[in-house]
Amino acid sequence: MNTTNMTPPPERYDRSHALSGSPLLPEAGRRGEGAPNPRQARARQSRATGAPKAALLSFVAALTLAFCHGVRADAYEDLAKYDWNSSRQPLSTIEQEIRDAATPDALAAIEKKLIPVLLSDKAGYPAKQAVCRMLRRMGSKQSVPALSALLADKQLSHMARFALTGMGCPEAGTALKEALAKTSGDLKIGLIDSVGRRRNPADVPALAKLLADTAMARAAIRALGNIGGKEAFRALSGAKVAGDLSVEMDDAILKCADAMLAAGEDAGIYDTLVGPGNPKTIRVAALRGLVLAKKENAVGRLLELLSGEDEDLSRAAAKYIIETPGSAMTKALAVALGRLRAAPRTKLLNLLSERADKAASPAVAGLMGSRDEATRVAAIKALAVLGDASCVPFLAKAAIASGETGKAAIETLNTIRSEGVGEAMSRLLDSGNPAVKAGIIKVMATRGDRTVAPAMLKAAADKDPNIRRDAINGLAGAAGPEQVPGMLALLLACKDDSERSTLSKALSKAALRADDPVECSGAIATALKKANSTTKLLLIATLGKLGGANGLAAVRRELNGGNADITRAAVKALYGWPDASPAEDLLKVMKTTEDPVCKTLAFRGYIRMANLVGATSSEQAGDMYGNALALATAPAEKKALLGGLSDAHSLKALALVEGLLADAGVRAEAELAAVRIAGNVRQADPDKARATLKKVVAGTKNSRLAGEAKSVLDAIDKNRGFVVTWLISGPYTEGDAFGTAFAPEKKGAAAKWEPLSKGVGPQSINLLEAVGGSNRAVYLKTGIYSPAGKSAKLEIGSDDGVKVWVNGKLAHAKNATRPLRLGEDKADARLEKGWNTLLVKVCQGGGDWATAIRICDPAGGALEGMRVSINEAR
Amino acid sequence: MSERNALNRRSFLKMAGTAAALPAIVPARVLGQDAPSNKILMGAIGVGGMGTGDLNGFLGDGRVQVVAVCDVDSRHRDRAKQRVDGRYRSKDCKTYLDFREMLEKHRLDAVTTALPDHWHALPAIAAAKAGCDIHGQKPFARSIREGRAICDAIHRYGRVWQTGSQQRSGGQFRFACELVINGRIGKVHRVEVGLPTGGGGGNTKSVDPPPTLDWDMWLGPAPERPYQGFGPHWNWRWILDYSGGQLTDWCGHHVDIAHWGIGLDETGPIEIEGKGVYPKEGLYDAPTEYNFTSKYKPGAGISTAPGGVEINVTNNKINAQGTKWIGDKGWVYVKRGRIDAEPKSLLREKIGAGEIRLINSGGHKRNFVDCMMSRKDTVCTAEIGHRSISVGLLGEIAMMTGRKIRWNPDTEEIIDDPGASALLSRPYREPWTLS
Repeated sequence: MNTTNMTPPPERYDRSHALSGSPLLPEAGRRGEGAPNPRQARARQSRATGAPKAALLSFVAALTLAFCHGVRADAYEDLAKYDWNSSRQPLSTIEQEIRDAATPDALAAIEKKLIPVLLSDKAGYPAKQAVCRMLRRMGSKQSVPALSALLADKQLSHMARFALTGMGCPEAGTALKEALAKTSGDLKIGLIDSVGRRRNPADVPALAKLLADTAMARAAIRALGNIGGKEAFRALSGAKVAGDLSVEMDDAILKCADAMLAAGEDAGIYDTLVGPGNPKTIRVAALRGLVLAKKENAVGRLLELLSGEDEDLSRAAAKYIIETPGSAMTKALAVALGRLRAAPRTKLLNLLSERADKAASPAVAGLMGSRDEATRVAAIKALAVLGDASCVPFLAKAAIASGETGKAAIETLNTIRSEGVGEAMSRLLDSGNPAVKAGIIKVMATRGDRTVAPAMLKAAADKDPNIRRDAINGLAGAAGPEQVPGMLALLLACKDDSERSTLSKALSKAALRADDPVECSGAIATALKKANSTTKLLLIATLGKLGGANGLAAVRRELNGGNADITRAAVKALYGWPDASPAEDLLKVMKTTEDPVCKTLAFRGYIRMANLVGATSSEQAGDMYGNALALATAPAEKKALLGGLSDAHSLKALALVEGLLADAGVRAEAELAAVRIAGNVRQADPDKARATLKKVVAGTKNSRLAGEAKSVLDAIDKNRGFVVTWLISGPYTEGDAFGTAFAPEKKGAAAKWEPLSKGVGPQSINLLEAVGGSNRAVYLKTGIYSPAGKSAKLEIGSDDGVKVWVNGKLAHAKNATRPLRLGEDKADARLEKGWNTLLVKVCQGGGDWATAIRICDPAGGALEGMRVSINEAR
Repeated sequence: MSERNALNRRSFLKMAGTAAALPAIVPARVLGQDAPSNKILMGAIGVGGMGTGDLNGFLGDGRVQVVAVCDVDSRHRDRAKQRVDGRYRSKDCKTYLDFREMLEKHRLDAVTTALPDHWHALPAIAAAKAGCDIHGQKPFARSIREGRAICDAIHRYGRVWQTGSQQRSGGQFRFACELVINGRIGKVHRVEVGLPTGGGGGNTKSVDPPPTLDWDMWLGPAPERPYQGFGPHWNWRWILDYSGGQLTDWCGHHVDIAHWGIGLDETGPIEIEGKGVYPKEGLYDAPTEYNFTSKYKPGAGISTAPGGVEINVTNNKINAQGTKWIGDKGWVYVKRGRIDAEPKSLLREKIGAGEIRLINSGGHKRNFVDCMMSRKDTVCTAEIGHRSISVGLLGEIAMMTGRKIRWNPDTEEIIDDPGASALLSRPYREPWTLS
């Protein structure tokens, strides 16, 4: 709901608003413009028990109804009688009146009625406390006299302050200040606190006088600190207080200094308090103020404390150095680097690295050759953040040094990120220094930086085998499709098996980095023609990962080339192909090959492709399973087939597997596949699934599998008739979710459907999990098979509104805000013989979102022969 | 400094009316060679339900030694002592009724506080002044002025603070926020936050407080009232003297996440408008239902729409519980245990090396202890906690007054509405004073 368009509050005496819904509900949650009829109103109230959303409506309706009668004239009289143990109804009535008051005059009228309660002898403490709470929200100078009279009242003083302290009128402040002279003890402490909270500099003298009063000094110090500023500072700095209040005094003075600084004045307070002799907590706080006040001019003090022996202050200085922003600060720190002793200089280098401001880069780079090792190492490490391409040659030389310097340089080279760094490293490969070259190639291999790929490719042909090895390793992380032709050329020329293998892996990674990896298949296919047999094996495997028509054509050629090893590599590539396009090739291999390895691979690959096809066409997948079974003669082949079938969602697959249950050679595998497929198709044909499962239970010697089959059987029986296999369309979010006819319910309108996979339970669909959101609708669609034309009953539960169509005819509609209850709605429907289309719309207001649809016979029993299939939804 | 660093390090000096957040130092004994103990010495203030959970968390961290517990209910503090002593196999844990005595008698490095909301400010400020780092439960404070006072004390004394908004340490929340802040759903124009619906009712009958409970100390700075059975045991949350109900309890979580996802951690809205439903009977007076919208200045935040973003906060009958950012290219929704997005492909996205990465705390309480050691900002600093709850407290003021509130997030003042401004603070019952 957009509150800028918020519905105005209901007129208090207008009954027509009484049940018009919550002022909090969004537009989409309201039903119609006018008041609902009495039947609707009763229906809403009847849902209040146990239904959270309905309860909301009923509650708000009741609340609104109550206000239809307006604020009762005797509410103020009841307020005066209010006691702790009585109902707060009169309080809530008047509080609502305050919230609804649209003008200052309306508020003043309420205030006028509250003041007598405050003055009444009959009203007790609870009533007067309640009035003070109300006056805190809306009191004006009108109520100041009545409240002032309570400031010296031991019980009510706090509540009078509760109302007066935040009151905008000056009379409230005057009343509080004047009451200081009339009170003592805790009441006076409370008043001092209230005066301080009003932050009126004119009150400083009155509070300053109290600094001499031992009992009031702490409160007065705090109050003056809260007022802050120059006058308060003067009052505090001129006062003498007991020693145990010194930290309190420093705290208040720091507050004054902060307030003065915010107003543009640095009174030098921080310089004093940061000095030795002050408590450490105060020194840390003052140092912060000093940095705020002096910025880069505080560098001297910061470095002094950073270099000092006091660990606490040194750490404080370190943190302020890191976190004070600005290049001026960075430059001041950088200039100071040269003045520092070695130990603090090392600290400062680390801190400049943390600041990550490149304004420090020249000064830091100037120290990377320092004679002092600690300084040198710290500078080199800082360059990982602060350095740029110009540092690379030096760092590369430093990287070949032993000890901490070399380690730091390698670490920095591995992590430095700046424009041109990759190119600078690439240039070093042409340098005459073999040690630098060897070092930098390792760094380049580690970085995985695409800009170094051309140089790496060049280095992969280096004469030095170590350089070659590191470069080839590096190509796996750096190369992209641009390097594929060069890498192929290298691969074709490669004579070392290890390098060839590494290079081919890098080639796959480079090709897979292309937006469309298939683009690289053509070049690899061409190279395949020129490759020797060893390289061919590698290139075929690469093509298998990329897929695509060019690659498939090339692998087909090699499949029939006559070399057994290459044929096996080709079958293996086809087995793992990214899509089902090599299905016929694999079928052919199954029929023709004499090689058992190829045959097993082909079987498994073919079934894998049948499962891929099954996602869109169970019929085609079923044919493929049949093809495979017809060719599977040996147990090993059948086992390969069954291994792939477990994931099938096809009744044909179930029938095939059932046929193998009697085959002693593969019984165990067939039983396992049968249980899994039966679970997958329990909605598509529960009777068939049950029959298969019972057969397994009766015949298997595997007790664990029998248990699994029984639990699937139990689930089928328990959930019989519930439809959980659906296509889904949506969410649809425009307009009124229930009333708007979106594409799926419009004849001829195109809607996008996809199989529902998330939120699917044994009986219900959790749409909050599957889709989520509020103020929207989705549609579910599936095919329902009936062996004959017959009457059926729909048992429907939904959170929230629901509509159901059977074969395009609206069978049920319920606009409700409610939780899911199974079978809450019942509707009659007529099922035709054969496949029927069930369409359901489920609406969502907010909170949970779900539905459960069960189809049964008119008496509530199982509908014999019912089957469910999304492939049959029209 | 780069934007990335600015995000990861929020503690920049700020001069215009808001206090600066500067870090401080770690006590020498935490890291120093000459330390009597190399452990962080911690005290626990408030060891009821939530406090016990926090205490257990810190007892499980070997870097921490809990040395004292404090509670106004002797049952709570005795139980806590037993737990602490059992953990360390000693009898050394001290117990206190008054947090001031505990802070005075021990030189603590840290305190963890889990108290009713009306008690959030005073112990936190006292602990900061005593040089302690603080893990404080959300909501940050009961009033905006108290919240600012806590922030000021934390910043002034350079203390490490962590708010107990542990959703910031959840990987799912962080991923959702990183998707949003990196523009995966385009420019965000609206955020929908759903919070639990509050409870009405409550027995009004006055009864004697339990003998173990110091009722006057429990009330502390809040208005006097007889004990009516809600006591220190949760139901105080429905009474406005002590809390803002579910609204303020949960703003500290879901609005906090809303801010994180669009870079609004250290600012606030410029307009707040809304309505609430309040109980008519019983003891409780906090709103049970609420619906308010906070609008932010155009240009505020990261990946926000040019016209500005609005955060709509309702109870969960309207907005689904959790946080949902809506941008011009899609939406991201997150709550405990669930993340969703449109388009769905966003859920498979990776956040790249060059993109904004939010703090990965590595565990919420662990992050607090880590930051005590490193002196870096925690995943939920005082300023963040304050700004998160300020949205709820401003919503409360808008609902209480029935008026649209205009707010200056820099000076933290309500504009041209003295009546509403009065609700920014809650004057303390004497002798308690705000320092």
